Amino acid sequence: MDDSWQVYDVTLQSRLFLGTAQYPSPSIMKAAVEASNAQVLTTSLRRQAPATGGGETWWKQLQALGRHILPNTAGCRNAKEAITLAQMARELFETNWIKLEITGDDYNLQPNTLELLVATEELQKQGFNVFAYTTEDLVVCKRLKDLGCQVIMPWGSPIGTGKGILNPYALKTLRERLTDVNLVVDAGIGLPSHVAQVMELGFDGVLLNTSIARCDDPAQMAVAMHHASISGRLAYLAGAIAERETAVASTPVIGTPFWQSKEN
Amino acid sequence: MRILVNGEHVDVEASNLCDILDQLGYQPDDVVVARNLEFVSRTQWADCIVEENDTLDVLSAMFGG
Repeated sequence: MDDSWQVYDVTLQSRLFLGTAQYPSPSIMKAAVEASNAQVLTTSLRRQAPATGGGETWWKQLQALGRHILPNTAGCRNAKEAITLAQMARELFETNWIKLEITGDDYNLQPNTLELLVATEELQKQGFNVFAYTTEDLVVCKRLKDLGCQVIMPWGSPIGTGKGILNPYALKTLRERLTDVNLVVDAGIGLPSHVAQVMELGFDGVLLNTSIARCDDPAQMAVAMHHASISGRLAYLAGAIAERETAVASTPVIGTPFWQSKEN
Repeated sequence: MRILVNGEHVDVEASNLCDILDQLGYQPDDVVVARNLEFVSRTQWADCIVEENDTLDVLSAMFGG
């Protein structure tokens, strides 16, 4: 079954975006990437001293994996910083894609959605393809869509917590109200069941990093996440039954043995 | 001339961004630069004059989530 989807100018088959941070080693990261089947990998930019080689070796290893690169603006605190970092990312990684991430709180790394909207508007004007990391706020997400953002990425729970989906009602509402934009849950995933839950809600994809990179066996967990994304997606397409409050026997009632009419 | 490079005070002789990066040992193809929080494209490096107390952020590729 062809279940490919369009992400800006690219057609993807995989529903997973994978982060490249926190792996025990580059070889384990490579094994996890390949096992996950992810076609999009996130990267960042950081200050570099000349003696360290400017990150070139690592970048060449990543390029060799042949995936689409999605640089982020992690660590930025306002629209100005994020816009400048996006411009730098475009030149370094040679892509118009940018995962726009502006931190509004140090404790839970909650996105600053006010600055996010300002930066999204400007970056869209400058020809960027924005992947907006945001909260599950419906009004903010609607505004992002109005600004031309085609990939909106609400959090499941705070980055790195592994708590899964804290507000399924809000995510369900987003999917129901924003039908013609890509919705990708980014952050908070801990288990394959979280991935499946997101996909069952009809989301287009999931971005994850810590749950694979920091587990005991990243490559094996990557396989599990891959299967979960497929499982959840297929379930969504299959159309789940509606929940009920009372039981409905699955075995036919007619012809039930040992039953006698009390009327006679 | 004293400037800030990646948050550290550095004394440089050149005033041209291209020459400063060369003096500091950076490989041009590996890095991207912002001067005073404004992006400076590689095509502008040769014409970019850095002044006393300017800040430079010299960044390269890094893993990220």
